[in-house]
Amino acid sequence: MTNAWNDIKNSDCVMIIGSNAAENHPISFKWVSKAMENGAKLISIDPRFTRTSARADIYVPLRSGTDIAFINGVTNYILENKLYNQEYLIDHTNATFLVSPEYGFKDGLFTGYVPEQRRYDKKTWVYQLDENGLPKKDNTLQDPNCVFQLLKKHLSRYNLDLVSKITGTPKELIIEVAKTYGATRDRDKSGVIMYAMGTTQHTVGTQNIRTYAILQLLLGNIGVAGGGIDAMRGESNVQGSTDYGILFHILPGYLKTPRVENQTLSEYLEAWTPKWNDPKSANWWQNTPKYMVSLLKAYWGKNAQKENEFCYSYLPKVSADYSHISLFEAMYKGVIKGLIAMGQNPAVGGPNANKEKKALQNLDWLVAADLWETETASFWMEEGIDPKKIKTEVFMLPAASSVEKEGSISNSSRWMQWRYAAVHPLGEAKSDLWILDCFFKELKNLYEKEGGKFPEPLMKLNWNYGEGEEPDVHLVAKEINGYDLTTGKLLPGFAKLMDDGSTSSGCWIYCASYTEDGNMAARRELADVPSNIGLYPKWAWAWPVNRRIIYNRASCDMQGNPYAPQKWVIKWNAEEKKWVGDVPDGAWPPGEKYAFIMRTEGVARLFGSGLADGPFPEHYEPLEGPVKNLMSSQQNNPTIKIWSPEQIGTVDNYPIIATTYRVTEHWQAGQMTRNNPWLVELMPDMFVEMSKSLAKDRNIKHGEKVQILTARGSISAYAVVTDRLKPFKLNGKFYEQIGLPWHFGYKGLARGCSANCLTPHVGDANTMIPEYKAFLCEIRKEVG
Amino acid sequence: MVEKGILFDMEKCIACRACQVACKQWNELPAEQTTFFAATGGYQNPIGLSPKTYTLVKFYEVERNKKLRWLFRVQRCMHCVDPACVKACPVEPEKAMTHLKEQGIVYVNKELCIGCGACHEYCPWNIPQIDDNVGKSSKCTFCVDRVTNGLQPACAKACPTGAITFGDYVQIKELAQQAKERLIAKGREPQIYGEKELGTGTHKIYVLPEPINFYPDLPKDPKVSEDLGFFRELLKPFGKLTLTAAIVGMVIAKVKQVKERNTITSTKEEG
Amino acid sequence: MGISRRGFLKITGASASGAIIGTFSISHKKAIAQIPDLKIRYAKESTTICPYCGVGCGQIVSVSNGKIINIEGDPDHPINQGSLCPKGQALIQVANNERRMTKILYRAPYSNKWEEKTWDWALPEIAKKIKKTRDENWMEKDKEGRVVNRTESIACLGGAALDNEECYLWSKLARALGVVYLEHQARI
Repeated sequence: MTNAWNDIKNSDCVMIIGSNAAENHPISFKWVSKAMENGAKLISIDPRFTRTSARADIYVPLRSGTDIAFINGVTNYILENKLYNQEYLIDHTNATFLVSPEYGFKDGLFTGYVPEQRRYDKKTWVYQLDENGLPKKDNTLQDPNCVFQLLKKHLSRYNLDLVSKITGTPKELIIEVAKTYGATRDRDKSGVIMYAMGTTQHTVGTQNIRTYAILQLLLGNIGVAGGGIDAMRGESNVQGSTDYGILFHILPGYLKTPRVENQTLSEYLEAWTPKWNDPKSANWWQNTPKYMVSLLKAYWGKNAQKENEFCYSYLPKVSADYSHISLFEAMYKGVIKGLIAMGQNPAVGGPNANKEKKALQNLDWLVAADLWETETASFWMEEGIDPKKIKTEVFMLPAASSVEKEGSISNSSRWMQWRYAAVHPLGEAKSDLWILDCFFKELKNLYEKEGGKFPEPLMKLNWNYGEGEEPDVHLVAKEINGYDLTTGKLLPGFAKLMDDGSTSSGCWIYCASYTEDGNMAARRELADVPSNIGLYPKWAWAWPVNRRIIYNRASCDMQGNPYAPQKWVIKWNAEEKKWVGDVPDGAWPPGEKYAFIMRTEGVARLFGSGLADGPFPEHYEPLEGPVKNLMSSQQNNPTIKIWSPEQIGTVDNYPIIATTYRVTEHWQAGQMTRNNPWLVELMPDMFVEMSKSLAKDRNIKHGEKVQILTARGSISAYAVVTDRLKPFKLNGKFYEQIGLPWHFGYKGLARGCSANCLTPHVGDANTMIPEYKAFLCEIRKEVG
Repeated sequence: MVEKGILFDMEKCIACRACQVACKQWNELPAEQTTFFAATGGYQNPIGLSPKTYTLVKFYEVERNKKLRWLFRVQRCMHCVDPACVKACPVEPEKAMTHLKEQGIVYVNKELCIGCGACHEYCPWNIPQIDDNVGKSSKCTFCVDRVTNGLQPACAKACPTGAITFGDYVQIKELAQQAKERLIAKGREPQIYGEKELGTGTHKIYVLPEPINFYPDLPKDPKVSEDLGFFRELLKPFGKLTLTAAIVGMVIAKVKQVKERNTITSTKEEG
Repeated sequence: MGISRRGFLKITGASASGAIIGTFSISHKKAIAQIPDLKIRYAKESTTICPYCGVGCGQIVSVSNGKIINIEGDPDHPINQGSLCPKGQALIQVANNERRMTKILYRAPYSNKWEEKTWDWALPEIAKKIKKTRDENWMEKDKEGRVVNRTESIACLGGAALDNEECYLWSKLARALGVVYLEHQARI
């Protein structure tokens, strides 16, 4: 989230799209409700009428997988009717920048497409630079090559008629959203977009978010109170686990994983440290060397020296995509022989779960740590499987629950909050910290005794967390924060990090979380900022540097005056020559640096070369779309990887759109709720929601068992026949849609089929997140 | 402690059912065995109030002015200002159905309760539930243990959106008015339910965002059965020691029988 | 650290409902005698953050005789101000649940059942598996002779349910082992 949960109350219009916040983040509705009490409008955009929609002023039905068409349509209306905030655009975005005249777009493809590799050569997606290497600009926004004009041109294709035919959303609702949400363009007004996995889990997931970002920038809604793009995270510490780089492509603090091309540290730093000539851009990532070297110092301590490039060679180098889908494809092929799963249950949560469960059978060994006996750990027990044919050795380790151990987690607002152990773990259960510590010590012993392949990274690893039975979690937290290695003192913040080996930090964005002043995450002071917008700067701690609203310099004009004086985030105190309020994005006086300090060019990007699938968002149909793409002859995102063509269904055999989702009463892959009697009481069985018209057509009654079939497999579920689902009228023809909760599996108190046995192995072109949210199916009454 | 009340501002409800679970958690009530969605209207479970379920969220899918509305309602004891269940409770001299009049709380004293079911029979909403296994009546206690110790009831504390608000009864009535006015300003047709019902009102007050006929299980004009006095008369000959659930059950049956006969007679007369 | 006898009144969150809670005056002595005592009156309280979604709500855990007897919303917490969703409200059934894993279970190859094991047995066994697989499938260089120092034979999954400090050690250990198939819930 750019902003914070409490900040939602400051909004004048809340747009919930790609999320069902009332159901999946119920406490967010405390703040949505507060905003509404103060007059804010709530817009719920969803393929289904949900408990969020039940509270909304405007409910907008949208065919799953068509967010880009819809938001581009809304944004086009805003552009055509001049409902945007021009001052903000000129000061804080690249709207004025001139793009290379070589750049172009034709029939669904941007310039530079390499069809045989299904990727773009991005050399035309660049700014025009002047002789000093600075981008050329047109502050009148008239130059046909300026970003603003290119955006207008690109979006002009998204007219109301076409958008309505693609999305199934009535035209008048598109206009109503554009007008209602567009009203937040006023200087002192703000609108927030709350999204979650309904946005991301598509082959165009990242571009979906870009449409929101573009809309927010046009209205001046980033950096301000009650604005922002709020990515609501589904697990209590999925923010933290991402921050700490438990993903193949990033190291802690979003540093890039070394690629095989980066053979040496200097090659790595050369490749990943952005350079820019404009002195007004802070270009924060130019500090990459300091963060990388400090990480290596945290990892390999005294062994990491300048002479050995701080042990850079110890880090594995990647040369391919190792994301979740690739991982399971590799396991399926037998490349992966051992799996350690710490609290993850892919047998229920993974896409194409039948295939992923099959892949588990190819493992030599599986180690699973969890509170519950999961479907993943007991995959060899599933009905219809003969365990005598499965070689996999399985170790199921009992893990401690959240109230049985001490440590911190980070919420969607980037707040790092400390938790305490209330009781000892149940039975022989142990904290994951203890388990990981034991793994390390056992392995080190073994390599010490027996030797082995390249043992140095392990043998020389800086790993010392006390002598107690339980590793000292405070020592870990301090290592994450980092030390001044010359004094041995904890660092006060990442501004002090150095690239010469004199500092360490296990995750630079958390530097300042545990300082000589103590554990900041454990703070419980409720004092607010002077404007009382609900930032609570002394409650816990937020990364980076306790900033509660990021890009907050964009909440002020070039003189440092807040756009919204009644809910200001920061403002410049000219007498004392300092910013007051939230921690600003850099202490420079107003106008000295641009506001978007993490962007190389210092301003927000309406046009960006960062993504794999285009500098502007373009609508493509889901891999399994029910209709032809009306925008171009490119049916699907031309840059996605197609894994198993034989497992792709078509509308002829599978005429119904399907989507998956979560409900309030269950959580993720279900092990934390399907074992909980009170929650099982509320939702005991797997179900499928469908419209009355579909039920009538297929002769299905509410409560009957039905089968849902796809090209990947079939499942059964109870039918919920409801007015909350309606068919979509697409280009003159009606298409039905069903909805499936994905929490169920064959273990636990509440059991049912896993919806993910139906979802495809295909991912977003940028992130490889699976397309769980839009695929095709058939449905029929279960016989017998 | 002054008279307390609870406001159910149902427009703010997101049907998350935190109240339902909070009630179970605080009162240590076991989960019920449920299947699919046994009740109509959506995600409701269990099917009704029971000795294991004091608080239940109900779902209503309705169409209003050509717009789909998904309405929610929290069902549980209304804590009447003049509770019929207390009058009906035959346990004397200290009632099992206990009324803390000044605070507006009605709860079952399980030590005294004989599980006769009179409270259920004479409640205008039939809220109290008899657990035949243990022979006790049970229902929402207004979290009397929490409230008398200065805590909020578990449901009100848990509610994320302020749909359930606990406070002084006077204040609750004012909040109900404000909520109603807010809805009217939005063009809705809200209704306050509980303030004037039964003449003297209840300590739980609903603000329903749609007219009451959209909540078909909620009696439009709740009434205390007229034969409550007759029932009490019939019980008089029984002494404190001889009073059992079986006897009260017989008396209730007798009252019903008489009532039925009267109804038939009156129907005949009318005919 | 951080655990205190905060006193049950902290749980009230008197301001949370906007209602003013008056002092209770005993006017009905006999009835009061039957009111069950407040079960958390003498409990030891500590704060925690809900393990379910990413909102990060505060909770107060009450412990009596080493057992959790109550978990409810932390009224001081600025995000949830005492309230919770049904999952957070039911957290006590995660803490006290007979379905929880309390033993190390092992399934031998081709076996159809779990066997109970000890940590002392399991940890060295697991280390042996990891080492064997890693050493047998170690890639020092790619086909073009570039150093890669990795193994593609071991995959590590999970992290969103772990604490930050655990996440940090998890990715540190995985990378020290040369694991590149390192993924978790954020990707899916």
